[in-house]
Amino acid sequence: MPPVEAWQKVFVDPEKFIASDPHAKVANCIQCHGGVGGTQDAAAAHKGVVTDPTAKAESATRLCGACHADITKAQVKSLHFDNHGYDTIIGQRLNPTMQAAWDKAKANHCSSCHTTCGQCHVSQPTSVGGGLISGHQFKKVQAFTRTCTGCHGSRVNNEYTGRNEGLPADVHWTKAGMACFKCHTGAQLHGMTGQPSMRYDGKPAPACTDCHPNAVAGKGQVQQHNLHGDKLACQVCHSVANKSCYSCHVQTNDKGQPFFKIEPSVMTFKIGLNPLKSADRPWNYVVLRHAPVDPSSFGFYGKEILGKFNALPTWKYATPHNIQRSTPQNKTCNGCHGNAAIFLNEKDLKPYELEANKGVIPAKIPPAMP
Amino acid sequence: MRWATRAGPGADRCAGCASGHPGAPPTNTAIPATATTAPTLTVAPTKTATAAPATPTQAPVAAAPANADNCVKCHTSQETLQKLAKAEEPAEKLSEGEG
Repeated sequence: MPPVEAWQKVFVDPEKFIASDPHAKVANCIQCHGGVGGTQDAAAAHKGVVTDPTAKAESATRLCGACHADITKAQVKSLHFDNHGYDTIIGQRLNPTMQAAWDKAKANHCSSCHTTCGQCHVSQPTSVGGGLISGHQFKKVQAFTRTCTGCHGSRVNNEYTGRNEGLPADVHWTKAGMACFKCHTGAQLHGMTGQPSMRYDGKPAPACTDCHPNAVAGKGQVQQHNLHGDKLACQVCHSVANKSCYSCHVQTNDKGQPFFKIEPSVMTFKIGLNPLKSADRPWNYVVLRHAPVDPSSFGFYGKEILGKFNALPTWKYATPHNIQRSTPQNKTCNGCHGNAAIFLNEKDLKPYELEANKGVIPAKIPPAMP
Repeated sequence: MRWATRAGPGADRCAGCASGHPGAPPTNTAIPATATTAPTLTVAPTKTATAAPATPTQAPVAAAPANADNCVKCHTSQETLQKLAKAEEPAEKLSEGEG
């Protein structure tokens, strides 16, 4: 993201905000942010100031919820707000006797990434340095390059906008210039369409077929769609190499500052068995990417903290954001059929993850076509 | 400082403040020192059927929020903020690898 000058991060635009924004009419600075009025001393004025008054559920509900009740009620329980997706996933791998250790690790390393009302609609997310975007103007939609991809940058943004060397940008970006919220609606982002336990809980939202209904088997003229039906997730044919991460380790230094170390990422394209197969996600084959976890990722907080490491595959269900009509694997039948290189196999695994991934390695791959 | 005004009742208020404190010239006190003759929020006396006449009570006044003029004055001035801005010290680089 482009750097923001220190002064600009706190500049309140007298036109855009004070004179024009409805939010400036219903509360003054101190009513939302605290602080002390009637003094010209900067330090005294800032006593008790809360930079983001929407960071806590209680204050978000009291302030934003006063007018936007339905949205706020859902938002403060959403994945974006409280990061409960981490609990869902790590919780499955967690040694049940080490919940307290995980809570501490989560607080140190994961909680800074949650987003709030203010960190989408007013400022950049704190995790990328914060700072007012449009002079404190509240916008229904701020530029996604300052909000969404501030957090979802190294994978999603790079895939979507074609920043991975040698790989094309997503067709929804190159052809249509679609911003994130064209597919990911406000209702979904705010958790108003349900409260999934993690990102891929429930029906795909959005689903490709929401906009491309003719791609459903039997509904259109594309032979491959009709042949493959629900056996393949759309991305199996229509995405390209995407980022896999390995061996992230977290800890704190002697001052209590959290930090991480992670191996260099690798661009991979691997098809595997669907680890989340259900009526909502019925495909046999999906694209997989390697999650940055290994058995000692949280070892700083206890050697056995991921005592059930094998409960989930390390090659996880993925929905790469680099969709193409034509891809190496769908150019010809044998771009995929008989092409062992694009199917996950044991050679792609480190010894400690063989057991965890047994369920996603295809026993055999589709044979080459004559 | 820029003051946005609006017409009608409550005109000439600070646009960043819903408290209804007087407009220009702004004061620096959260609650005006002078007693106002017209409370901002009054409860009209109710006629009750009780035998004992209601003892007159002081009409409640909505708590006036602190005056935020000082916040607005500084934070809308690019020049002031640039003077006061301290270069952000780069955080100690502890993490290694792609975040």
